[in-house]
Amino acid sequence: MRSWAELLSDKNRAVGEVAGVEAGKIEVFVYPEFYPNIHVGSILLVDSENAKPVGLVLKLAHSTQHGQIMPLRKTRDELARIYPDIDRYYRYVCVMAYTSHLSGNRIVHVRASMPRLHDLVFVVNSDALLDLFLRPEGSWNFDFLRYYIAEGASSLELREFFYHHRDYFSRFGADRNSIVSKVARTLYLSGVSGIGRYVEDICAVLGWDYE
Amino acid sequence: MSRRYFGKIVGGGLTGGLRGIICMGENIEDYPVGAMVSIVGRTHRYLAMITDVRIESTDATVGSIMSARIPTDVKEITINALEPHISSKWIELALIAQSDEKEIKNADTVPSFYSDIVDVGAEDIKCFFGGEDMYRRWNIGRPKTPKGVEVEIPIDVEKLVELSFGIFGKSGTGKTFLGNIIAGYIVMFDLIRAERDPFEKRIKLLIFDMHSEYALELRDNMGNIIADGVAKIFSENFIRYTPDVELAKERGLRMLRINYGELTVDDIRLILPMFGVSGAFSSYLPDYRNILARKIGLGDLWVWGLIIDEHVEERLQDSREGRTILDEISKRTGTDVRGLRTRILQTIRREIGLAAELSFRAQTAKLRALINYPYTARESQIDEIVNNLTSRNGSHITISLGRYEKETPLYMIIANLIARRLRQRILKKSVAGEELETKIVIFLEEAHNFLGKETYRLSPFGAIAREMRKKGVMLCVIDQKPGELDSDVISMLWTNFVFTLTDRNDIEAALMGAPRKELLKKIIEILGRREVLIYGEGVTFPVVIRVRDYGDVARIFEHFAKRMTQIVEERVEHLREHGFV
Repeated sequence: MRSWAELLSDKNRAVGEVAGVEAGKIEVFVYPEFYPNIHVGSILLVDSENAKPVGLVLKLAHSTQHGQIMPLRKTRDELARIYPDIDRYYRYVCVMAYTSHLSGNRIVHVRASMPRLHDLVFVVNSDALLDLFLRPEGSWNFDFLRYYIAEGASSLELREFFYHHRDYFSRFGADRNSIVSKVARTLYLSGVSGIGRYVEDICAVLGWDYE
Repeated sequence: MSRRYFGKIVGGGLTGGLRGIICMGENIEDYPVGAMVSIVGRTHRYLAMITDVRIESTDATVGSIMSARIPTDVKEITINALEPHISSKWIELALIAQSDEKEIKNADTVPSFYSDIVDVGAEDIKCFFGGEDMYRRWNIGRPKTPKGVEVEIPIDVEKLVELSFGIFGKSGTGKTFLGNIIAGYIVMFDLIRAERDPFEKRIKLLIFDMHSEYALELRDNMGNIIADGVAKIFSENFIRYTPDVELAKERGLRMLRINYGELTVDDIRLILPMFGVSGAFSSYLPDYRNILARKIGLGDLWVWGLIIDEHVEERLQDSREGRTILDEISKRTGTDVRGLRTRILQTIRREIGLAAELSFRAQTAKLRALINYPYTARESQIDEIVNNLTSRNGSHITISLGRYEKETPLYMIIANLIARRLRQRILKKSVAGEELETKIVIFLEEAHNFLGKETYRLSPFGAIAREMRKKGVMLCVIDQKPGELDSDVISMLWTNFVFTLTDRNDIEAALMGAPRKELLKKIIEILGRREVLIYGEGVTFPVVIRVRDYGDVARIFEHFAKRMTQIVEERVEHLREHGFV
């Protein structure tokens, strides 16, 4: 996936749709088959009409859609065999922190208009699109973390964001200094205390914790 | 012309000092304490001195990063990235002066909030301190500024010598270099003024040169010669004396011997503590003197009566001067040395008591060191020195101690003798309704020996400091322990050159007359070598400067001295051509 247009060109790539919006948080109904692909820290793009909201997953949840869950004492394979449509009765949701928007072909780490319900949601995970998100002007920009943190992300959520994108970041070992400085500055501007702990976590998950 | 500002005024006041915040991106290490800066207010331009610099970390971020388990270079990267956010750089400033379109004066207002702090430029220095005119005003050194400035600050020599002044600082800071520079400027000013205005009083210098660095050469801390001293350069204008026979022979200085007959009870009292003589002996001293001079008949040889014994006699026999003294003692008392000593002791016991005799017996041995000093039975050179100092056509004088440089008692004896004779001469003239033909500036090293809290009332220098200002005798008080000087003396100094000092009392004393001294105190402890705070009459405003390199100044002196010699030779030639010579 090399461009935003390509990502949005096929609705079957959508991993869910907007189920609710509240201030800086967007609740997404995740299609069951994509639920395992969504993690805390995943970057999601909402295909809204105007500015397209982008954000990071803060939390994931699922529950039954009707009534209460009945204990079945089955393995996952047995369940799939006996109840092939069991997922239809479940509600998979994730909450994303609205951090950025796609304007034309450019990512801006500022929030714009709110999405509408049922707007389709796509996951951003190709290296080319991560490049466009993380280095929108060609240099590292972690301003989106300010919104992420403002919406409740702790050092653990940040740790997961970097962990799930570690393969991508591993390509940029030479940029370590630049990445760490930019992240540190963003964390400072976010008003977090104990920046050292955040940096320690990030270095640990990216394998930069060697002397 | 507007200059780029490097900081902004954000608080403070005139007496407590101003606070300025340094802009992000500026290097705090560029702003040393003591440096001059300029402040651009709304209606005034200000001159201020940095009295303190501070950096602050605004929160616990640094601690958090330092304690994180991450590579050291990542810590550095992180802290460097956050530096602009988590640190602030401050300077504290003492306002010195202000200028507007009408006048330049001591600061009596403060700049508006958020005024620009800018580097001080050459034009600021010239505006506030004036320039060198190579007559009255001579460059003394470069002011300390954040980024260096290619302009020097002059001292006003005429104003400087109008009143007494002081040079203070720890040993090795550059007092003697500065003393030589000032002495040279005074000599040049006097010579030029004598040409311009022959009716003006001439200035005469009397320099007590403990370490022979005015009369011979100045040396660095390793003992290497740096340049000739001022009296050697202006040798045509100076007579250089020394009590050191070898130095006199080898370097062509005039010999200075002491006639102990010229010493008073107070002179002896001043040196007693240096020999470890008891207080009881000191209190008996006037009685001893009376007995020795009158009852024993020694007259003005009474000092010899204090120390005379077989050992001293042996030493006196070694020299012609000594033999003359022995003959005179014998003639006056009609007895030999052994008999004389016994007679003295008996007379003391009879006249004052046993305790006085015991004290005399025990303590006089400590005074035997006087035999090691260069004495004479004849008239000393003191009158010759005083004649030179008080005559329009006389020479400047240096007294160099040579190998006696550590002999403080000898230094004090010589200095006190000259000071007393000088004072007597001036008072005599004064009583006769005459005015002194010269203005005399006395350079007094280790001045606390003469003007200390204990000695000020006893030493003739104390009397000179108190009484002689209006008669044209000024002191250049040079000392490394200004705290030991009597406060009266300090208050008589109208220009002060203060090198680094560490003792609180010394700093307090050296800054006694300084404006906003509480602020300036912080500077003194951290001045570097050759850096000196100047305040008072000799400079328009207080300033910290790095004193000019003495080698450079010595070349100016040499050039000037050479030119003066040429002028004199040309005049003599001219007179010769016209048959006057």
